[in-house]
Amino acid sequence: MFHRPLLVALLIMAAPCTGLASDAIAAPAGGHSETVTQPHVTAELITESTTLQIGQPFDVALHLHMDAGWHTYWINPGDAGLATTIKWTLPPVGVNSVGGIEWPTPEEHKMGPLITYGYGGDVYLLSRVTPPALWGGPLPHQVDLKAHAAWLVCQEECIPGKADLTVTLNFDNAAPNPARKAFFDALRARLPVENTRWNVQAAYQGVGLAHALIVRLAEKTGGSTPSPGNIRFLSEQPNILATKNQCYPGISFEGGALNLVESLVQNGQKPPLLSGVVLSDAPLIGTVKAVHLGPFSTDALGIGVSSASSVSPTPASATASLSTPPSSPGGASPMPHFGSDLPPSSSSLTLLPVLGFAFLGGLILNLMPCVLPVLSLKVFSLIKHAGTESGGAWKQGVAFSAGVLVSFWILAGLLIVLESAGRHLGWGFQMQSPGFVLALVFLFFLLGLNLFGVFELGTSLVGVDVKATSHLGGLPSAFANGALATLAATPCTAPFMGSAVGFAAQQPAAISLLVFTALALGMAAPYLALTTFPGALRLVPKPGAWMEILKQFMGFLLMGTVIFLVYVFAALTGPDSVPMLLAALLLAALAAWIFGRANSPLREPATRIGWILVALALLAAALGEGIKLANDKPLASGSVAQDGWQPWSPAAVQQALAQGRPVFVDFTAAWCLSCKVNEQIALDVDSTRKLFADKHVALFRGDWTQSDPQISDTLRHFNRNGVPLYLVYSPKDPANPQVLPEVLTPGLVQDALQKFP
Amino acid sequence: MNIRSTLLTCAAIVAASFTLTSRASADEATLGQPVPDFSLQGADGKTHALSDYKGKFVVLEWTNPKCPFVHKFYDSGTMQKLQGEETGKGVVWLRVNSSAPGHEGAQTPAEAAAYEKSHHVASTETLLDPTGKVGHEFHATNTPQMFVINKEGKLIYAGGIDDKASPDPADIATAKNYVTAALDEAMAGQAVTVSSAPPYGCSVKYAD
Repeated sequence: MFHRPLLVALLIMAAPCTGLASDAIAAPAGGHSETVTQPHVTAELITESTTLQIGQPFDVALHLHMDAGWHTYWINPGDAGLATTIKWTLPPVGVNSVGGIEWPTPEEHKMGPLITYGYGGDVYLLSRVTPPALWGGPLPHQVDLKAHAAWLVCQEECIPGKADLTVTLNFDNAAPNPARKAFFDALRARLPVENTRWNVQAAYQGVGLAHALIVRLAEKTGGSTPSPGNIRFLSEQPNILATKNQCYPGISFEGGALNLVESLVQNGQKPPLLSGVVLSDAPLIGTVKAVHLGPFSTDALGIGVSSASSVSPTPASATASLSTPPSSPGGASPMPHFGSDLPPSSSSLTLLPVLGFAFLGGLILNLMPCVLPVLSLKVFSLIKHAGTESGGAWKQGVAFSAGVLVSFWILAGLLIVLESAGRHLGWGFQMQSPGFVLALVFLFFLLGLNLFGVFELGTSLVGVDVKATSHLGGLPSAFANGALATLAATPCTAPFMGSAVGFAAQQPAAISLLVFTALALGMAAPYLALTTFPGALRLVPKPGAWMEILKQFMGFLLMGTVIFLVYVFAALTGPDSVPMLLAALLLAALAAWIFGRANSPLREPATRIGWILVALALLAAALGEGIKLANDKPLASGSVAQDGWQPWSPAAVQQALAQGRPVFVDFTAAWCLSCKVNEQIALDVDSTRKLFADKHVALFRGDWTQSDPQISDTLRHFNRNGVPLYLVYSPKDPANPQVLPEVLTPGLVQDALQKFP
Repeated sequence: MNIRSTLLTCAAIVAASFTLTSRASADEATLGQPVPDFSLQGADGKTHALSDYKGKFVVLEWTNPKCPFVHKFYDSGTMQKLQGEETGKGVVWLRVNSSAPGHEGAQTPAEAAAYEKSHHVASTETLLDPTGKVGHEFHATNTPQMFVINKEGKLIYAGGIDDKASPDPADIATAKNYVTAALDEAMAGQAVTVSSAPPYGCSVKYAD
């Protein structure tokens, strides 16, 4: 039923809806496998080159010819069906790898009310064959490249089919056959072109109500998008987007960018990364009407708000729509903000979840190792006050919350001011300043000694009456505790914080402030709850001797924090600074001890003051020593480069990509605990190392321990304001790296690298 | 037609469809929500309603006797074994055939009963949905496609039967079966880990 002469005159069938040109292309003779005939399908392999040569990759095509009315499927089959698969068996020498299928633009096939994506007539599925960079050992005359192809072919009924196909490749020096190359060039021209035109952002839209994915295409050149006619996005992942739009064509314009609105399938999934094809009936890049989008993230939180603020409505209007609750599923009120000409995707619905996440992030901050000690301290003082004057407890809570709020506002204010001043900075920037870290080291160390009982504060140091402190001084101290907790929390850029702060940094000031307010409220929430509901307070154990034990125990927690801070300090100023810093701390401890001994009511006031002055002088000497250390020449960056990792630079990444290698980038910092955890669990493990080696991945580590404007820019580009950030670049699509989650597992790394040969 | 009026029209349609959707939500099976009740004729000729099985776990299996992916599970005896095991634990297992008359796999009650007998089907009942109404309410697109409903009548799983999308029976042994996983977890009082997975197979043969 299938004759060789037919081959030279085959047409690529093209559905009018995809706008493919349907001119005939002819396959050259030679370089074919045998033809396997299965029900309604004939299959064969065709190679672009019959000769294997070092450093000369070429394409091989699986050619499927379907009977009229029958079709096979795209990578995402749509409502039903199954994608065609090819399993390659490589010869012992001559072929390093065969890449995945390059899917031609699919056609839509109607099956009753269902729509599937696939190919009728003839389809050529291309894969890239890469010979090794060097031949090893003696070469045979020729080798066989084998493929096991499997497909599902359907008209109304469906029939699975498969074929084992072999094509022979030679080790001769035959010149490339121009006709063969022209044929494959024609096949490649049928592929969707890789996206060079747009910056892609995407988000699932609508809270509990709408079912849509918004894919936002912003012109890279900054120009505005002319009307591209009917345009839509098909994801390569199945079971996500409905095959038909509720409102076709689901497009809208916003600030010169194009929003494609695609409905989600009922009960489908919402993966964090998508890839796929943008189809149009008008040319999109050059004369091509189908553009391939490499993997892009679907968590563009600011997709509606940021554009709203950059176009017409003022930030105030975005804020105002906050007060409009999303209409409940049962309610008849359809989308109150439809008055504007923005699509249902925009502002209010995106801001609410962001604020929710910020609140949740703030709540979780309480569990961070660098907050917990302060939190314990605060709970401790709360317990104390509940025993003596329970009526004042809620005031303590409010004062603490105010402390948190105000310091978050100050941070936000600084961020905004510095941002507008064009300074490169990120969250956790305080930890990049040795002076700041030094101050924290001393602060936590002295607090720890205080808890151990080496010295007492507040009893008579500044001559303030104890009772007066508990009435008047209690609230300021609660306020200060709130502020301290905030300050200490900044290095813990938790996954929640990462996105919320990244979002805030790009927003107008009003929205930034809102996000920071939500963060602060989240952090203060447990206190407000505990203090406004005295019932819960009663659950707190009664004061007693155990408090002293607890207090001393908490001293150990603080000393743990000190160790972490010393480690950070060492990362900033070099390991040589550690002994000197420890000596300075010893001096400070001596000062604290003398202070504690001297500060007894039994002593004569003059003696007391004398000894206290000695203690303060010692402390000043210790601090002076520390400051000298902090001002020493900081350690050069790039110290993290080891074990196959090279220092990151954009040029180095581009160079590796140009060599055809995949690239993995790890942006990290010595003070970033989650970075360290990720590295130990997912990166510096044997399985991942082996994977990196097998796939010839070029590894780059960007060290943000000290502020580095180039890294700050890169983080900002990916919507982040802090580390970690993990990027996987494909040499095929260097402009659109895949962003991995902030919590990394070996499995995630493996999945991300799977697409590479 | 200028862009603004296109947009306004589009927005109005979307808004209208949302309103419709929210009003009609009782007629659509949505994950985590109570599923709509239905009644269909069974292979025994009698009418069976979902509400007859209140308070029990219910599995819905969309099927088509002619689909090779259905064959994958019936020729190997896998589906029957699964049906027997789960109904043995008190689960109600309903097979649903939504093939429209004149389309592939359409059955009369007598034909469905004959198939049950010849294939040793161990389900609670086979239901016929020739109008496709129930199929559309559940957004069933493939055969086989599986839905699991908990004792409260809420949908806790929707999607493919397992994670190996292939017509090859040899893959069943190494595949992760999402239906048994969902039932096991729900029966143990745990949340269902995978509540949705891509369905795979033949399209449901609805009327055009």
